[in-house]
Amino acid sequence: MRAAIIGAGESDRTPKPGRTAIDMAVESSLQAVADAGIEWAEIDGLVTGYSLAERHLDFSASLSEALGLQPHWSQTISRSGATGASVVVDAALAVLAGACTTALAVWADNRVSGQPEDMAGVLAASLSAFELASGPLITTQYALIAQAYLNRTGATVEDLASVAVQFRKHAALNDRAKYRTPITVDDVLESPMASSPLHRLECALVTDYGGAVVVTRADRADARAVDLLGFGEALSHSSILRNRDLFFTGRTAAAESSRQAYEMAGLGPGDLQMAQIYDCFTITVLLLMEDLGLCERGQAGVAVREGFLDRDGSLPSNTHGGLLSCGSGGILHVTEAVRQMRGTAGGHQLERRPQSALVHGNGGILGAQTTLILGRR
Amino acid sequence: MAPSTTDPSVALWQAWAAGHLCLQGCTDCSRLRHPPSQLCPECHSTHWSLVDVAPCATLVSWSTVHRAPAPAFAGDVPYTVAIVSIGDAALLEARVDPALPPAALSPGMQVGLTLGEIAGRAMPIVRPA
Repeated sequence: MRAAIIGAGESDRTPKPGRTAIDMAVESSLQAVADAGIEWAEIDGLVTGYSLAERHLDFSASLSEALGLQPHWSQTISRSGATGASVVVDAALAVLAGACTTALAVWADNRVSGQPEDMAGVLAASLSAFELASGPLITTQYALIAQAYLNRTGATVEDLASVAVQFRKHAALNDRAKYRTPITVDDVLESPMASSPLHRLECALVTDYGGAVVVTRADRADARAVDLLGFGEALSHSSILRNRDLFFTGRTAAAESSRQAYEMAGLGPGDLQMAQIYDCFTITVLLLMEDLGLCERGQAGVAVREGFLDRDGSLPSNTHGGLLSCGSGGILHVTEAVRQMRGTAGGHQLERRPQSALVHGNGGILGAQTTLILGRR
Repeated sequence: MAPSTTDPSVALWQAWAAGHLCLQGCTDCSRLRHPPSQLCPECHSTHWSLVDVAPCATLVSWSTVHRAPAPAFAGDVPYTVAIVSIGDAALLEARVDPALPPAALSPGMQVGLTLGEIAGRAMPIVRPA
């Protein structure tokens, strides 16, 4: 038995005074349910991510009430950035276990409209006191791993910058991406340094976002469904100081999460026709490409420069522009994959509708990893 | 050294503030670990103590921060933060003394450690070997 995704929706991401995370969760849920073509009465499960900008004792309870639902199964989860991919895993686990039949999986946050005042609190929640004490940004933690990657592999800052250039090229075709003006490697390297070797244009955007998908048992889904062929989750650390691999081999828990997902799907990296890869920083993409088996270790930068991830390349990836150019929220990697596979991506629809795809979420400082393998019928 | 608290993080901050360059070690398998934790990741023992470490380490990586994350660090910008390895066991994140400019850093180089103060808090600082 498998689970399948039968609908996807995304909220508008334009910041508006007073817009709440619940507003965007509702808007994306409405679209997902309409896209699925089902009745609200069929939804008996709900899993949501968390909000950084807005406090909820249980986000899924707040959203249930807003949607007029009384689900048999509900939960709010937090796997930091990997939450977007993990809400799909949890919805699938619930429908496969029989806890519910059809679940909405939603993640939304008003990170701009909500203007969280206590960003120092957000930073403190992300890093241990023994890291925070010397004054790093979140970016610094990734930058430390990036510098080790450059030292070890001989990859260059141009390789890193090429990731941002590639996804901006994709964003240019997406009328809902935040930044659409094409950029060059020089533009990236001339943007202000955030924390060396990472420049501002190598860091994820901070935007409002909302995304939702409807998950049900594969035997209840029609021909337009996108099957969840495989999934895997792995967690290696909370503090980067507890994982020497980050600095000495570049291996993250994505190697394990993807191994599980490929095995369950009975597919390998060579079978994929599209990927949506969590891209909070340029270095994240290079490391994940290697762990996901998309290229040899140390060769991700060369692959990106040669157009491997281009929409006309070997493995079209982050076709919406990703976190680097489209908007915040790993749930958009999920909704983008589903829309491309269902042929509903609009102006940036790939010419060849992908038959199979990988979606990967990364959370914390490369600690929490979630891989999904999707297939079209 | 006998810690004065059962919380290993509090104990380590207190020891650093008292001038002891030390890390948490497992009293059963003797593995060092950092940041401190209740159980040993190697043998899951709950028994630990703070162990003095030599004031030297191996440079693993570094990054120069150009925008402070909080007002307490704003006066120091730009500053360099490093990951260093104590032996081949524990990794430490520490500020790099300006006497070691980024251009002088290379992976695997030996560096010294000294207790100093960053934003009012006593902690190890990376200095020339």
